Amino acid sequence: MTMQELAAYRVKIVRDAVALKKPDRVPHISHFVTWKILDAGYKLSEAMCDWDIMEKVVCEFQEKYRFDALIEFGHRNNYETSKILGSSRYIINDEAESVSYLDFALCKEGELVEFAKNPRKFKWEKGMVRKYPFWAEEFDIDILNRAYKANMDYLNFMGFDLRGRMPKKLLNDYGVPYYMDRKGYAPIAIETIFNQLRGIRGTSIDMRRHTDELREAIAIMDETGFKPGIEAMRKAPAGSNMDSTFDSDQILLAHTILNEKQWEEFYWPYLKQIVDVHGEKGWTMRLFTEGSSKRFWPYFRQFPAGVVALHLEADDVFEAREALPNCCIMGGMKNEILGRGTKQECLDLAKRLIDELGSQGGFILNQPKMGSYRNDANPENLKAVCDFVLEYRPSQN
Amino acid sequence: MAEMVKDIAKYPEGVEILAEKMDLPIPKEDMEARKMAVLMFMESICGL
Repeated sequence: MTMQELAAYRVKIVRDAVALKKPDRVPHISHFVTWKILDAGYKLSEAMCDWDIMEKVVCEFQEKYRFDALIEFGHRNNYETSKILGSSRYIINDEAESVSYLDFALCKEGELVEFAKNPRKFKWEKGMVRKYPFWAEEFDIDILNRAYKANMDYLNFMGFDLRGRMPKKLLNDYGVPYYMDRKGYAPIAIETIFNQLRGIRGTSIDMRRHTDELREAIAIMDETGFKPGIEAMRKAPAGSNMDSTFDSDQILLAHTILNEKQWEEFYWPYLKQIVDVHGEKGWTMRLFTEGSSKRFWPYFRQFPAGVVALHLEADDVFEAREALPNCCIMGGMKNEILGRGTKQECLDLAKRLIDELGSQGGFILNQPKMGSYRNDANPENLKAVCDFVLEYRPSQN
Repeated sequence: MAEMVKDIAKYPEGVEILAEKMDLPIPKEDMEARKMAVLMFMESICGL
């Protein structure tokens, strides 16, 4: 099999699984992030500041474990650019083998509407200085020039369309398809507010104390962001790009602080429209829900069948399979078992997941959490599971 | 320099100044493209 044929095979088994059709075998997708660096024997600070080292890390990872696709291929952290600009948001601790990413709010209490009315002006005049003190205190054009170059290096590694240097190498040398070919983007305002503008604490405060202001800001952001985005998606050509495993990737995080009433107002109408457009166009989506999303499953039950691969971080995949026959379920290969269990326990779990969830399609084996720490997997356990998945066919047993 | 720093922190004046002064892989004659590159860069690093 050539690398192109292998990539096409991998795309097919992933897309069959999402379409709730029985694939030739259950696909296995990697959700490992900085764990790859530790497994390859590098310090976090070495690999995260050097794209040549990161390329070696990712290649070694794929040679060893042979995943069907990689959600993360070394590109998650644009750390070097952030470091040059003097940001203190990333904290890398090589001794503890950890990367911390501090919650940061671009807007202060009472500023959301001002931001929404002119995001560029706000970011330029207030956001930049809050994030990077040099912007107002000791401005140095050399810092910006170096940061610009580092950002371009980052974008070239990842690719503006996720088809940069690393994805091309994975495709050409290992037959790993592009992870995603996004067909459009409609930003959900509450997620932007939660992730970038007000942070976890600020959004929670706004939900309780400044609901009218929150609504006003969201209404403006809908006009400038969500509505044009969803219209562009509606006008885009139908059909998937069979060079990639998914047509989009949506990460839910803000739902973790919402009650059902807030979910119905601030999240669900937007998510439903996005998924419905995917259904109309024949596109697929990985929907990663951080934390638990179980209380919102009755809403997910309304998704069109065969569109969403629901990647669960903290919920039980067997329960999800029962509750959501319309969704492909993704996850199940728990990091706790991979990291601290025996090899046999890992193989037993993988077999049970494939037998019970994957024998008829609608399941992608995957790790629930972003593998970041050494204990997120024992390399021997992971290798055993990866080898097992490639050979195992439930129908033959 | 102090005057320039004050102006850089203003929008949209700062965009013009940086489009002129930064080392960008875009010809100096194409100021619109340079301004867009500066803005995209700012959007990118603001999200880091």
